[in-house]
Amino acid sequence: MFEMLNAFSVTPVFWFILGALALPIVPKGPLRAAITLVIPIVSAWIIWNATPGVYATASLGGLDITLMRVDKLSTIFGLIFSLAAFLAALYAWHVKDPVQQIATLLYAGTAIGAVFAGDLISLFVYWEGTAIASVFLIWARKTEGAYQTGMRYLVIQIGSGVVLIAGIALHYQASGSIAFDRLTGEGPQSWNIGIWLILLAFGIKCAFPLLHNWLQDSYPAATVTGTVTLSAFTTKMAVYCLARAFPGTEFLIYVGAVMTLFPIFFAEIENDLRRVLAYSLNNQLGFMVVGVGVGTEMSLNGTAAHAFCHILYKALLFMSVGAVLYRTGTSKASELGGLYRTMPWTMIFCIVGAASISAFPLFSGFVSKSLILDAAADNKYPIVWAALVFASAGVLSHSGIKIPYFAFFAHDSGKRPKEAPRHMLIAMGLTAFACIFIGVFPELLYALLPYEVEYQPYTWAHVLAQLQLLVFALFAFALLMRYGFFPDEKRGINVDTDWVYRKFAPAVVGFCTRLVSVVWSEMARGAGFLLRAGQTKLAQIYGPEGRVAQVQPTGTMVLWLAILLGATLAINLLDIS
Amino acid sequence: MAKQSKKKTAPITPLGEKLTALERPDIIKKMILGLGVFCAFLFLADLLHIRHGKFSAEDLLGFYGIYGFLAFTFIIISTKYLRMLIGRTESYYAPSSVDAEDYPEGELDVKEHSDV
Repeated sequence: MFEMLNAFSVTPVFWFILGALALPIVPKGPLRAAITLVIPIVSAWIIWNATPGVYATASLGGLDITLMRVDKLSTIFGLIFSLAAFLAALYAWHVKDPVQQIATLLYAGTAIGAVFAGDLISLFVYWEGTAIASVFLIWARKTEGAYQTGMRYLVIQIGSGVVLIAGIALHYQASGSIAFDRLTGEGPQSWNIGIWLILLAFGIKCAFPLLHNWLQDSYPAATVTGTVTLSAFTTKMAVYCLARAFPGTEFLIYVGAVMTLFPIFFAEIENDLRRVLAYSLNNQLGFMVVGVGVGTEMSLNGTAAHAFCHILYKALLFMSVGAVLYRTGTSKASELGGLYRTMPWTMIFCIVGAASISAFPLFSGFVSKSLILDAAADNKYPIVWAALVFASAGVLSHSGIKIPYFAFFAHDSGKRPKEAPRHMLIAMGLTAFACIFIGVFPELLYALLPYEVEYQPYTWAHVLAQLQLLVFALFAFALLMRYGFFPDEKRGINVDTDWVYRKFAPAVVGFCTRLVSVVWSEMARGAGFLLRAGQTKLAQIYGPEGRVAQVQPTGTMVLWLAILLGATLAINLLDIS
Repeated sequence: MAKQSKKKTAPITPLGEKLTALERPDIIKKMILGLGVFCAFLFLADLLHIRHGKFSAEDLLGFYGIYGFLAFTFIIISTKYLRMLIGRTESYYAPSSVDAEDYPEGELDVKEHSDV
């Protein structure tokens, strides 16, 4: 146990847990917020200075536990998680709720722990840690809807952990190993059931198609600041796990391609801008999963780079929409519009996020997404490549245009909210700066990637192709809007696959319950009827008025006795033998 | 006091004031025209450089532009029908979702720009 604690104390997670324990005993106010701000800096410092290798090891029940496996893949994810935790803490400087502050620290800490875990048991512990810590960011909204949404989220997140531990146990039984390393072996045909379950667990948290809806259900239900935090960790932790354990698994290319496509359509008609961003997040995860599936050094670099950039621009978009929610009380497109008048800085930061996610040249998305697209093209996946280019136009439609346009422009909602608080503006400003900085100086990001990069995103052909795609799509938007083809934003929701477990399954269960109830009551009624009929009949025979109970005269008895004796005599006289 | 009342009457920020020009119909028209001209430039720019794409389709003149235009248009038109199919009222999942709820005021700092 001491060995375990000793190993744990050198990990960045230790500091997050220490911060979470210290927070309640620190007086309320800036000091608490400062803790949430300082811990991610300490974490980044530890990760930056960590020597590549495997350490913080211990033995637990005969199993080799590794808490720090430092290589370029874990380092880049650890660094971006620390940066995201810092920016989210800065954005949440005003939050006084210690539950949210502690949850944020534990959530970020466990996600970073998962990234550095060198064995599957540690991964499982951190995996569940993220689930439990993060749900408090949804419950902190303190409404009935948020409570129930949080419960659904928790069931699915914990469920993925249960699937993971079952997979680990079966994999251990089959292979005798709990090492968290490449699990692909000779391809899917050689996998034991445990590996399939591990992949399923990763797929749940990575929001694979049909397993995705917990994301769009829960993220918009969290607090203003909670959603910013949520957007960074869980799904990218799953992407990291896929990149670590399943690189080059071909069918993931197709899973990823589907992920880039279907959220586009849902996002386009969604009214709640935070849910639009949740769909958009799902779409961006698709690009990363394609990168994992292709599995070359270039594509895995693309996945890591895109995760890095995506965490920043997605946080920026959630921050800007969160600032609007914070000032107006709503994030619904139908209720917003024209806010540029009084929230111009928030609008500018939102546009930077929108340009980054749309992959405009000189913004971060451009230098990361193109690694994945080119890797897909290099490896001759024309349909997947075409899907990704289509999805790139789709990203522009819902995140590039819809978010800034309907929040800050479109029709004038008449709302004149105050500009976002200063700390939010600083957090958004820093994030926006990072998005542009990476876009302008991609080589600094490329230096952090897991493999050597020999890639130049700023070629004439590449810039021209991307500009053509985006500017023509913008032109299409302008024409569709001008000629009234662009759909209005309406209050309402759209059903997704969660309808199956939120409406259909309860309806089926309700129907079955009613059916069993009706059948049971009818059977009981029928049995009662039969019993009553039997009782009546018996009463007729044996009851006080029944024939059996009737008083028989002695003469009748003698008569029957004489008949019986007579019959016996007759039989004897016949001499049958 | 006078300063306060002056603040209260300021309808929008100076930056916002400048951006209101974007709402003028003539400016909107010019922006769309400018966008069209830029598209034409980008389309013709393909002539200046022969693309050697990984797939033959990429080498077509203005391929990315046409693809982007059509993809965007398809997405917008198709989602109109998708909404008819899957659109529901905000209270469809109530009370087990937040869609029909107001965000709790205690968590917000709703302020007007003119608030001092």
